[in-house]
Amino acid sequence: MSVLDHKIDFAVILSVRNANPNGDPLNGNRPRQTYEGLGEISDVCLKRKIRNRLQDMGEAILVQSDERRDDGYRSIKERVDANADVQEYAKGKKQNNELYAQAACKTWVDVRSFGQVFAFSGGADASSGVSVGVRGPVSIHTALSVEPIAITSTQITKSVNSVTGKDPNKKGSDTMGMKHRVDFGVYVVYGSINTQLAEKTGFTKDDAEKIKQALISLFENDTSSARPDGSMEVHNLFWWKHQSKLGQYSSAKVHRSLKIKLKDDVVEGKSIDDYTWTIEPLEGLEPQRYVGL
Amino acid sequence: MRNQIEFEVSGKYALFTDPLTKIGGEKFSYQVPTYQALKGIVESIYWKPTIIWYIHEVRIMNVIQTESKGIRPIEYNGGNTLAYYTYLKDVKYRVRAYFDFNPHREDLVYDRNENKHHNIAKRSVQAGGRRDIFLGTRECQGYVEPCDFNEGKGFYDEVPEVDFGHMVHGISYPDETGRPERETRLWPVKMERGIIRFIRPEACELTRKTGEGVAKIFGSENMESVDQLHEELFAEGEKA
Repeated sequence: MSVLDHKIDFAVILSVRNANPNGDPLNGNRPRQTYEGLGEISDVCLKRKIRNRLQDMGEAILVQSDERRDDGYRSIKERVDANADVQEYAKGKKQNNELYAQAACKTWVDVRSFGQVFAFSGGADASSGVSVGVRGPVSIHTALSVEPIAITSTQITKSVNSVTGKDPNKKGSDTMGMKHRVDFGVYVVYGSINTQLAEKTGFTKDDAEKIKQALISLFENDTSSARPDGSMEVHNLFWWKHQSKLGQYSSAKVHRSLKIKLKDDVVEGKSIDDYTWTIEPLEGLEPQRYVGL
Repeated sequence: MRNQIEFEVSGKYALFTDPLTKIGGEKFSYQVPTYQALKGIVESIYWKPTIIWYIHEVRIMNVIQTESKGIRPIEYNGGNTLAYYTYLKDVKYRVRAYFDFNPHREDLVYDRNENKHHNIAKRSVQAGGRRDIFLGTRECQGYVEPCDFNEGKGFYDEVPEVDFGHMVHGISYPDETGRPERETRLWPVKMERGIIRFIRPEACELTRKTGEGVAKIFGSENMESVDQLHEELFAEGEKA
């Protein structure tokens, strides 16, 4: 399969209804919010979902979620150390950082797409650096909501103690908890795939196609109590295929050409129908539109 | 300046980590971009081993403000930590940079075609860079667009002088110094009417050796010559 030879820009419009798309671990797991009150889904959260979807497609993933791992390795280091192709260039006579990175890119699709830093303890001579960094071609912006979001926080209780206390009739403090949700929000994800870095990591047209499929079905098999089935929905994916390696327009222009806003007569967006989006035409560059799964 | 490019780089967030805050794991951004961060952005736009980019000056267009986010970094050996990263918010910079040939790359003399490098660099600015652009860290994706350096209104245009004290200027790598070691450079930063004029790396007086290294070898087998690339970009007749 041939290496990607044309730049790609993409944008995803997704909506959240009564779910917590991405909690802030340092804020009691409330949905992430910027200082302006816009909702936020971090880039790494989106990459996690893309990796999970690629894993569902049967691809080899290096950074696997521990609860859904498909091998016996419990950390990135274990997975790297157990891979013979990659280890061949890690130490000793054949130590070669470039071949090491190449082997890693060949083995794992997420290294090929997003890049990865392999932390090493330093080698004996000056040329073997402390770690190998791979810079991947797929870059994703932090997703922001179009309008400020309203967060509902509910106090919840557990109906039984986890551990029997001194007095079995007394409720422990661990039976109280909080759940937060975004009532309704529309978020936009922007990203692009770069040809120069694709050449370096061996990212193919096939891989780009897989990323596209992953984005279309982003929230499949991703349900949890914070994100019940049907609460997260991908509405549209826009996929701009440039005709050249360098791209016909800068990503800034391409991403700006997607205009999304509340309809004029709507004060507060309560459903996806309250929003309207258009693509300003760029001469010679037409996005492919896909409806989310 | 000879062989100069001008561009505007903007993004929702930026993180030019102050190395003092990195030790504790909670990154905190400098108020203004470092020389090295801007050089990285210019190298994302266009770079070849034949040339060295120098940042001439940067103009801070927007007000400097920060925003903190809670992050859950994953450890390489398993497990995770929690940290607050403090980012700059809604940044916009205008940059003037120029290139010179790398005197330590005697082997690449055949690739020293000033005109072609300059044309490719200008075309790459038009296209928003040959690689993705980020402001300090990869999660702060940004955009590059051509601009006129002096146009428009910057927030600090009327402020005579702001002193930021000593900041990191950048890191000297073996391929640009010819010495087999890495050095970190510091310098006192001043912003005058919104503009920071950088000194050249070799003019930095405060340097500290921070490691060893050797320059990577480039030759015709692992790089595309400027002639080939120029041919490819300008023969296609694509719209800028």
